[in-house]
Amino acid sequence: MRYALLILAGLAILIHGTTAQAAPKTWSQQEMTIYFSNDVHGEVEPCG
Amino acid sequence: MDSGDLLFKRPTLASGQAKQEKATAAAIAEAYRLMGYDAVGIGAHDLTAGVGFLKKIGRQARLPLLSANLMDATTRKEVFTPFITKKVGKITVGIIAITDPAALQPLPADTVILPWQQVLPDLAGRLQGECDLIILLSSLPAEENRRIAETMTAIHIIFQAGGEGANLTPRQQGNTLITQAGQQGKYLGVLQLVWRQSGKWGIDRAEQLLAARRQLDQVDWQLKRLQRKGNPKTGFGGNATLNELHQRLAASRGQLVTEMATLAKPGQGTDSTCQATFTAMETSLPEDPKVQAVFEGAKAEASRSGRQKAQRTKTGKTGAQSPYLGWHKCASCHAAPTSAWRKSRHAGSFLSLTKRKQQFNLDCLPCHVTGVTAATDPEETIALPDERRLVGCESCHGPGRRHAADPTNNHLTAKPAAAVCLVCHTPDQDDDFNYQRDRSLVH
Repeated sequence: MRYALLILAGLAILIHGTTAQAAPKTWSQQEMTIYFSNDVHGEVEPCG
Repeated sequence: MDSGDLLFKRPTLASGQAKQEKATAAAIAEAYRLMGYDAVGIGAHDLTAGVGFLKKIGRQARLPLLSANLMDATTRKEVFTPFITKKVGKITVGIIAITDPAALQPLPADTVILPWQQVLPDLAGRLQGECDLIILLSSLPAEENRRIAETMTAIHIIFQAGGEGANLTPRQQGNTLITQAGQQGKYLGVLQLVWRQSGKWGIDRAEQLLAARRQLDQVDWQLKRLQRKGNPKTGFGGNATLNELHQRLAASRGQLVTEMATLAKPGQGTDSTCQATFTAMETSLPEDPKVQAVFEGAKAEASRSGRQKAQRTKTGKTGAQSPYLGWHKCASCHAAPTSAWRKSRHAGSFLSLTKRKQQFNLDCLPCHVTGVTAATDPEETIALPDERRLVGCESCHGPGRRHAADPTNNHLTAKPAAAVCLVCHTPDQDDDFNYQRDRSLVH
């Protein structure tokens, strides 16, 4: 009986996991802002 | 984000300047932490002081330094974190970085940089499952980035370092956007995205629509020409060839009209969109007090180390045999031009360094004094006599010792060529320089 329960529990986890993976994405669009810089090359500030 | 090459000016430490350059690199890393960078790729100019140093300052500044292809030569494992993932709203963003193997010679000890082909497909494939948007920080050449975009649909945005130098408005290559901000941190790139579930960019929709319209015009022109030869309704009077051609063109027209109708409906909202702006980091912008404090510390460190060098060299390496004499000697025969020059900015060039406390900065000095290049012994550069602490006559006309000893037989360059000015008036330092216009400002 104990083993049967364990197997059932295991199956339930497996099904839940599969369902979770197959679930459609909960978002349709995401807005975001990315800031980026380039090649600072060791420049702290202009010489003068 | 930053794709790398941010910590050092050169891929190797300059002789006698290691301490100064390391202090500046550490200050930049700390400033990046203060500014809240989420990810920084590693380029050749970040490994100048070695892997150990980079790891140390990365740890100190808690800076997420990334490289997916810089490997330990023995274990073949990544030396730095290859990627990070970040939750933005409801989506997960994966950020990978690739270091350019060609830019780094020789390689730091015990490391190897693998070609992107050996690491990126596998890594992007793995991230595809867990990330909704994948970004690549790349210090590879622009051509290689385009190749990545063409072959790897999993990468959605490439922020490139170096490459074409100037700000690069996002270009769509396959389903990847490639962009970069102008070099030397002179611009901040701002990319505003609306990322949609389809994972497809729609910024080339207008171009596709235009191309389809052109094709349609061409097909319509061909159909009109054909109709002059007969009536399509009667099958061109039994001319099978013309009839077949007409049917083909009509079918093609139908397809184009349908395609254009689809392209004209971005309102369906399946395509992702973006807008990029580039903000110039003008000196008039207010400084962040914390970042400013870090940089003041780095400059003070550079000054301290330079001053120590100057004190050690007090006796002066610029002895009697230097080919440069200083402007006083020129003035004794060339009073008028010297007098005009003394009112120019060249005469105050060293003063502009002292105002910014950069008078011991060996990277700045060669263009603010007379008769010094990057190759000059740093101790000599630091300890120049006062008459050479400015951009004097000899900076443009050449060293004057031989000329002063025998003016008749040893002539200097009367009108220096533009190339002489361009050694210092580089686009990086003076993007408004105009030889014809600006030479008259000297005398």
